[in-house]
Amino acid sequence: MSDRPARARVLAAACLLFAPFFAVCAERPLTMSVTSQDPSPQQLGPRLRLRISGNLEGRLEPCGCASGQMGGLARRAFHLQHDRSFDLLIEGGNLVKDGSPLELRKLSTALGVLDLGGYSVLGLGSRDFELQIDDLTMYLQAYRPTAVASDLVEKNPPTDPALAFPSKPYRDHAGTPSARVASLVLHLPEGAARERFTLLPPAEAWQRAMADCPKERLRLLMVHGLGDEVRAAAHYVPRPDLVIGVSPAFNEPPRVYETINGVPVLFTGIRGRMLIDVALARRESDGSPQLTRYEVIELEGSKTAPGAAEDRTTRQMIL
Amino acid sequence: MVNVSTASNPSCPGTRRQRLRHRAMQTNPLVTALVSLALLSACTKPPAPWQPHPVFHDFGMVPHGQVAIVRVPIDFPQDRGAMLPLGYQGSCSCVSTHFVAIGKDGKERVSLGRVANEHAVLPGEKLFLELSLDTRRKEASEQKPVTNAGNVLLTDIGETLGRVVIPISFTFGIEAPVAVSPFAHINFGALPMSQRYSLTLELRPRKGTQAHFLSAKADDPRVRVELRQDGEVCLLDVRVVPDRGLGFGPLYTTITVPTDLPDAYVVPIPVSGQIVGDIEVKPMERISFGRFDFKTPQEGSVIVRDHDTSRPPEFEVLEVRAIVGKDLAQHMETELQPIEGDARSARLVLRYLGTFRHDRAFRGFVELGKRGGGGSVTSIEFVGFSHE
Repeated sequence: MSDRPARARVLAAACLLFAPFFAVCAERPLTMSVTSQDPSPQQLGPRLRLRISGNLEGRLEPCGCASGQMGGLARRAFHLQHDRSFDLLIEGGNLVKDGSPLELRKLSTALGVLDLGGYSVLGLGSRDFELQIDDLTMYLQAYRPTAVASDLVEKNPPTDPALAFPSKPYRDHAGTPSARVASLVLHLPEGAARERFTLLPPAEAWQRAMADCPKERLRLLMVHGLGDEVRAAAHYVPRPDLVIGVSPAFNEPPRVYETINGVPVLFTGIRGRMLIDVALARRESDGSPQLTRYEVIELEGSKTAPGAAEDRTTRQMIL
Repeated sequence: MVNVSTASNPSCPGTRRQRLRHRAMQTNPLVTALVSLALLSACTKPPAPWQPHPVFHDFGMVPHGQVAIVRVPIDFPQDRGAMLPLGYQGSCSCVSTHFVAIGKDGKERVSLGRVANEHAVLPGEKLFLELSLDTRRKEASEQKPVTNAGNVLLTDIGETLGRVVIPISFTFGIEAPVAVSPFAHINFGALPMSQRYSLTLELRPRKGTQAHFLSAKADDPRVRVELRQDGEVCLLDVRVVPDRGLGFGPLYTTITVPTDLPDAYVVPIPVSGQIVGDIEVKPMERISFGRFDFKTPQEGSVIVRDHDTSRPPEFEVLEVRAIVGKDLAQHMETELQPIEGDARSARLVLRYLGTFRHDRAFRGFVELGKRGGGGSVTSIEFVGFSHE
């Protein structure tokens, strides 16, 4: 018996698998134009305008490895003050690279900058939990952004609430439209974090976070994990309106977002080099989420004028 | 029990010795397993070794104001089935990239850079990495050719055969039709509301060319520009005049100077900085006590200066208010000390009295006003953390 027929079967199966897609590809260009697919504004409810970032990994300043690198909190602060066309600022977490004392100091600075910049939501990622938990607790308590970790559960909850870890299962945003933001840690590092905490199954954690969420409120979910773990969240119940992947799998935010199960899925990139400008709304006819704006903002500096377009206060805080 | 019969696999027919081994392993499960593993590894066809072909492209000197786009062909293994272009990882962000696949029917597909099966490129198809160099987004300054390196990453759909890394490098320089000196980007830093900033730039066409500068314009009314000729040289006077009605905050705009050069080249000159209050606080705008023993008194200070000469020079402390921690005023003492020879400045000393017992952090603001009323003119943040 030859293996040629077997190969032919595999090829045929592959062709069948991909044929519908290539047929679709042939019909329309794949360069996604957000506006061309949008329903008219009359069909949409009010929009929530967001600026999203994540995975700072301790990069308070742009990498100095070559001139003209993007990023840095001072540039971010300048940009956010210059263009205030947003309702909510979301930082995805993994603010630090590891649990070293230097990173702890960076955490303090980063939280101070985010606080002054008006951030209200901070999703906690596994790298944040590499810090000493008491240190992390202290700094999170000192700054205003709400630390969200929807799947995080203390194994032995302290009797004194003041001693509890200061994260919340979600953060509500008032406004029109209103929104609820949840966040999944998904992976706790070895060590103290695993001794103190356990994680709920992600879909269960999401349901818990959305348990009493009014229907009209937009449901946003941050997921700290690999690409497929992030994409899986688009199938959770209730259906999220937006899934934000805080994933090391993407160095930069892709130029277009993905749509999975009717849910927009985006990835923040790493090291704070870019911001994502998003406008989110629900279509009035069927309640499906729509991104009416998706733009990646590169936080560029100047090659000829060092320090240009940087916020002075933030610069001082970093120094 | 795993039992692989070489005889039943015509692609690996087996020798007489193998058949004997096969017979032997029927009696010994351990031998069976070991031999099976060996035979499996011998019969599984690994992908043929594949050597990536590094790709190089020279953009040459690209005139500022133009967009250069090139598609570089990417060679990829043809024996691993459909391959996913995962992305381009480069040493700089100077170009934007995306993948283009051209099917056997000649139709183009643009890969969205997503890790999903439908964005695969199939054997026999062509794959290109499109590099787009948009000099309009860069400053109008000469840039010598530099080489940038990166990698294109591809993987088979099942991600079982390992990723393929194809080195890419490209060189480009930027040729500025007009030299702008001393800066191609004006950074006026922090400008107090009651002050002005001014700078004169020189605009000079590239050697061997002649150009006339037609007019200059800035969209932000706080940035005022004027072109003038000084002999052979064209000068651009730039002034930044804060507007109280627009308040504090960042200012970012671009001055544009059209020319009569080919392609109607327009010189862009970015202007950025912050309009700040007239109260200057230095060396830092906040007092950080850092981590320390809360039972020990601590002291921190900043120097405050009022640039607005229409107000009385003296400061006064209006309030110490808390963001974190309660009743901070009970635990803090403030003092304003004059600075000799500078009547408009004072040193604000903030003393923590060492009286916190239960909190692990405090954070708040000192509100400063001017003698004679009028409310707060500036807020100075302070923060401290317990080392326990």
